Parts: sequence; structure tokens; C-alpha cells
Amino acid sequence: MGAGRDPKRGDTVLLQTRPLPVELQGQIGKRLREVYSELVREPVPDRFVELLQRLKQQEDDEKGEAS
Amino acid sequence: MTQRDAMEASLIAAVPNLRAFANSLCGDPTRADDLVQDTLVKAWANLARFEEGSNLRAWLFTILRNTYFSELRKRRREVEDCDGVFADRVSVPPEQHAHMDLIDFKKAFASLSDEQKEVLLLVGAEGFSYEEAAEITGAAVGTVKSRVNRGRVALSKALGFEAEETLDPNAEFSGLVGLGRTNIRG
Repeated sequence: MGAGRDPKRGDTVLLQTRPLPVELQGQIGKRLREVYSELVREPVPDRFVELLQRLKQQEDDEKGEAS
Repeated sequence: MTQRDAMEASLIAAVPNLRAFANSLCGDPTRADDLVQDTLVKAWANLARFEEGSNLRAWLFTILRNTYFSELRKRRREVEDCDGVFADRVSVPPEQHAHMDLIDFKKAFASLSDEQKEVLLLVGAEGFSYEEAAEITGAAVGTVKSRVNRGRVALSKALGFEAEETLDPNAEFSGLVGLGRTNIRG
């Protein structure tokens, strides 16, 4: 498996992989979206809202000092 | 509302998806949140370089994955690559074939390579087009398609599906198992 992981070369060197049967692709895709949307629905921690407020505030302060 | 306020709102709106992506990619919620934080700080500092009207979501995902991969490269230089750790942990007993819901999908997903994970997440979960995913990852469209394809195959194997044996006994999907072997025409 290790050889296939080189992001630069691994993908082009390997022989082409046959696609999965459509039905199985559909099942896997559905499950992936289910698991993923569970993560997306998680509440956003306050730290991110606060961070952006801080960044904006910083910028306003710098502007204030400059003028 | 000023332009900055609008941008702040757009960045906040993107956080749930950025967190989901970071979490799925690195498998560590604490590190994922740090990645999202770094992404927001970098995005804010480079707002001037973001072109109005272009795809903000794609831009943010680009920053996040670039941050992730450059940290990873740094770590790999410091520590020996620990390939196989995940693989050992996620081996699936063969009798669980076809019961996808009973198998820990997340563990199976974690066993994929980072390159496969990111394209499956971008295309399969986030709904980016192959072209957008190519732009985000800095790879060719054909490379993205091949990674998605091989990622799906690897995922189905980690989930205990042996496509050749259990789904279609005909030769049609024989390529699944013969991965990496030369195809000899009779």
C-alpha cells in the first residue's frame, strides 16, 4: 500500500482500477453522506465566532491607529 | 452591512463544513478545530487575494487541505511514517460481508490514504465537481477521478465487500482484485 501513497506519482503509475458496481457505489456514497452530514450538523463552538470578531476588531483598531 | 461583515458571515457559515471535512480527514477533533482556526486566520489575512465572485467555499477548502498536508509533510520528516497502524485496527471479519450499517464506516474510511479521503470527501460528501476538486487539491482532473475510483474500491474492501466474489461472479469486475497486476490478455 505504501507505494501507492506518493501523492505525486502513485496515481498515474498504477494500472487503472475498474469502477465499483453502480449499486455498491450508491450504497457507499449514501453512507458517506450520512456520516458526513452528522458531522456538519454538530454545533459550532463559540471559539470560531469569537475568533472572527477578534480578527475584525484587530483590523478596525489598526485602521483607527493609522488614521 | 459592510463588506467585511458580509465576509465574516460567509466564513462563519462555512465553519460546520470545514470542521466536518477536517475531522474526516485527520480523524482527530482537536486537531481538526485547530486546522479550521488556522484556515480562518489565513483566509482573513488573505481576503485581499480572494477574488470577488469566485468560489469562497472552494477557496476555504483549498486553504484547509494545504495547511493539513504541509503540516503532515513536516511531521513525516520528523517521525517515521506509521503506515499500517490503521490497517491493523480496521481489519473486518469476513462474516460481516454486506452488513455495511453494522460495520464501523468511520474506521473503514480512516484506513484510506489521505489523498483518497480528501477526494471522496470533496466529491462524494461536499458535492464539489471533479473540476473543482482538481482545483482544490492541485491535481489533474484525471488524477482526481482515479483517486475517487480507487478510494471507493479501497473503502468497499475495508467494509468487507469482496466485489469479485460476492457481487458478481462473472469476469466483469475481476479488475478489482487484480489491482496492480499486469493484465495478461489470453
